Amino acid sequence: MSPAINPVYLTGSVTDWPLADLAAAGYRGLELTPACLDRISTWKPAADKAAIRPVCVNALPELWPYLTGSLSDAVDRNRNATLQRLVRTLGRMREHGIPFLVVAPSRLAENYQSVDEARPLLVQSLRELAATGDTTILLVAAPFRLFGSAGEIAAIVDEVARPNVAAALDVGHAILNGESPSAAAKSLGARLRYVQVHDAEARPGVPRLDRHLPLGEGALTREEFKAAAGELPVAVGITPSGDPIGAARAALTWMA
Amino acid sequence: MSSEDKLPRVWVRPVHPEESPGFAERAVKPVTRADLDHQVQTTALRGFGADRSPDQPPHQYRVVNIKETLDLYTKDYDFGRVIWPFWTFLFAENWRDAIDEMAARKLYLFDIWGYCPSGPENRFGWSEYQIPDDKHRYILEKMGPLFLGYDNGEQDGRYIGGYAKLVCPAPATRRQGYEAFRLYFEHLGDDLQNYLTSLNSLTFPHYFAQMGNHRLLGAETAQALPSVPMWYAFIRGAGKQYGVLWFGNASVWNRWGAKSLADIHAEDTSAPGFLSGPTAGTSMSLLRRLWYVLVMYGSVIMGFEAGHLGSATEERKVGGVTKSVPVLTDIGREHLAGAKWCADHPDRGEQHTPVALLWDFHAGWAPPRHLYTSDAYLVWGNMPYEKGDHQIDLLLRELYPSYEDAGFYHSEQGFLTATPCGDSFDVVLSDVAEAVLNRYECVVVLGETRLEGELLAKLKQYVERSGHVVACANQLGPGAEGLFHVAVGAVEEAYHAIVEGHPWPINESRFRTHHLTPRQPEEVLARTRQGAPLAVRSRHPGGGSTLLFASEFFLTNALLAPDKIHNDVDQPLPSPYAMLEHVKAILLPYLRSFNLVAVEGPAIQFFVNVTSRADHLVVTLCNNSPQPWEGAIRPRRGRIVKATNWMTNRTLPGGESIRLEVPPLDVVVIEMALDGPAFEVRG
Repeated sequence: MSPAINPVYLTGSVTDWPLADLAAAGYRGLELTPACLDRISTWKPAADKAAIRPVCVNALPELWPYLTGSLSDAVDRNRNATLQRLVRTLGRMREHGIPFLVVAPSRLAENYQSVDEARPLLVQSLRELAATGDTTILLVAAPFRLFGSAGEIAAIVDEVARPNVAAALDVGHAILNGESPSAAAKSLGARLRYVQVHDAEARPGVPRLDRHLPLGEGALTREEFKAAAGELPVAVGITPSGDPIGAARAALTWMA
Repeated sequence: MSSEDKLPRVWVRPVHPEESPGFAERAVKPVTRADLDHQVQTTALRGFGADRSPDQPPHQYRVVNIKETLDLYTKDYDFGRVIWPFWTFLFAENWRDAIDEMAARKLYLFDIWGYCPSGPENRFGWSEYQIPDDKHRYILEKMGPLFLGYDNGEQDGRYIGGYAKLVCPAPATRRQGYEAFRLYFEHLGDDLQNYLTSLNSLTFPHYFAQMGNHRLLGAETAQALPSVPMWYAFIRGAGKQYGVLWFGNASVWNRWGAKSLADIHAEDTSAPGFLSGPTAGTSMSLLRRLWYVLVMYGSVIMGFEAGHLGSATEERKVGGVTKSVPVLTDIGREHLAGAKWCADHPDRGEQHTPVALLWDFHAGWAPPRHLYTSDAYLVWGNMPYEKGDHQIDLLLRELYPSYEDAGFYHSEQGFLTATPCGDSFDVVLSDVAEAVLNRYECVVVLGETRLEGELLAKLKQYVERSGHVVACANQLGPGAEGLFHVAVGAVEEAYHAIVEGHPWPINESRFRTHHLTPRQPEEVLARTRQGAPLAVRSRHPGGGSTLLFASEFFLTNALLAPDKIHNDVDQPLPSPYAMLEHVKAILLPYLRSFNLVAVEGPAIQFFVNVTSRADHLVVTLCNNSPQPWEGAIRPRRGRIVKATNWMTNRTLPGGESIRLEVPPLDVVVIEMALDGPAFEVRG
């Protein structure tokens, strides 16, 4: 296995990444965020040199409701602005041959929105994104948001009914949502195209936070991870508090 | 330290925003005291009526009875000049009429409220609306400084409760936590012309003031929100640090419902989904105490949230004309009495807050539990407390006992607390200017704060200018040891302490402590049996001093596993740590020593206000207990030659101290004239 890694999550920077070290450790792919595409000249030469290529854009940093964006915002201008930004991102992805865009549902608006009103907005947004080209749009469940179970994600993917809309599984999110990653993968079935991996706390008394812990620091087991990931493309999305290279290496060791 | 034979140098000058650095350059000017006619202004009116429901298409409606409504709240009953309306009047066909009328009457337009992320504008309720440029310009042209801003209302709590945890991945650093918070408030500011007033619901006023787009800072007190003495330490500190005045407000809501006095004989009802009625919501006694406490804290605007008028009417003569008007409720009566009291006692002075609690700008600290999440112990709403955050919490539990219970107890415990060391602290963040630090006699460095670089340089200057600094050895960065006259060595563990003047060791839970080597024969206030210093005091040539604790954040090692901590209503919230006993023995009396009065008797909330007349003190005593308080107040210097109870205007006998009784759940303000100065004026 030669997984990808999200260097933005790993380092907290959108450009300043230890690509040679990551390549030396065994990473061959990069999961980017949309902001990285605005600064492509700052990292692309080093990535090429390290033979490490972008495989996915994770748009979750553009989908923090109200802070950055939402695909089911009850305020039209907010949803439209989000879509415009993501359409631009998709354009750049096509330029660089990046096959996957990961997106997530939003939260319910605090007032004047029911789940039945939010859902069609999400479906419509996914269709609009899908219509812009052949990049695969992957819907992933995220904690504290609508449609947090794999079953709900699968149902929305089916409802969108576009060939380039499928699902991703974030195994840490599954844990935070109270699902077993392997069961979530099973629920997603053939819709599942891509797996993101980080650890998550599930101890009683510890607040549930989407901390993207290094592997081995939470509730995720190797067995669960392997059962969930199978032979699918995998990206490591950890935010270590200390040495990023060490954490990235340790993740590979843990997954081996 | 604060020597008994030398007069303390006390800052007496209130905040004047126009004197703060950068005021002239600020696009959005903070409200000045001149804008408010140098007096406390009061507020009651919360909205205008409309001829039809705005949310009904085609969303065309008119504000009705503008003059009559303003008359009712400012003339029939003089609730004050501050109008605090719901936002929808601004989008009525005749909205200019309302603005023009308020401008003509020289009323203040304050904190236009109702903004809520993701609510469609055409619902005209809790909506995410945008203020068009031309509308904003018109308001400014007509009202000028009388327009006090749009409401950043309870949004810090809303962010923490509803949005922070959706940041994916959760921040790995405090700076990232701040950046996410800032994104939320950039959106809000852009929608509201970056012309804001903050009605805080959590402890983030510094960040709002620092953003440069806020005209006033304040809080929605009571409700199910934080403890007021603790909270206003933040708000005052932010106001002083960034040159923004603050206001007070007391809500009729609590966690379970709202007080409604419309019909005093009605039964409480839970029909709307929450309890409502005469005995629901915030108690009258808490509302009353909050008025006087918040005013004495220096609030420039004060008001109760709602409920001034009943549903019954009475004949009332106004301006020679008899009118039928709604009857006053107890809330309305308390408002009018409180406003009159403010007018009768205009020289309330500046609250004496000699001690600054200082921590890192990016800390994002919030109380260990609050209304907006069932999780306990988070900073920025999405990062777990670290040990330094527990240090802040546990010191605040000593300064404001049960502060962490505010909003969680039916008994209202925690909203106002006793203050065993005096209600005499402000919170400032590490970007504080040196000139602002000079307001304070002592700075206590708390939390995950590193004493290095610019902050260390500021504190060195501060000590040279006779300031006193308290810190822990684990907070010292490169170059900081010199300030404390120690060398910091390896970490050890200990389980006892011998405090100077105590015959026997104090038993402690195990704690981590740095080995300190004093560089000069410094004063060791506590040590281990083996002689390792645990607290070292150093006097500096300019009259300043430092006090360094060897222990890590002056806390024990962790004592409680996370699964043992439960956060439930009407139940205490345990901390995983405890403040070390030897630290309590040294630090708390030290902090108490900065007060200008000693209060003898059961623990009570107290603070002192000062003016440039150094032989006058104004002492506020707030009894937050259902039992009468009996005790005495004694100036630390001087003898009382005359004292007056401002609540009754009765004169009290002078002497070394005044004995008095404060009724249960009530507040008393005493003015004392002394036979000599109690302090030396600075500032």
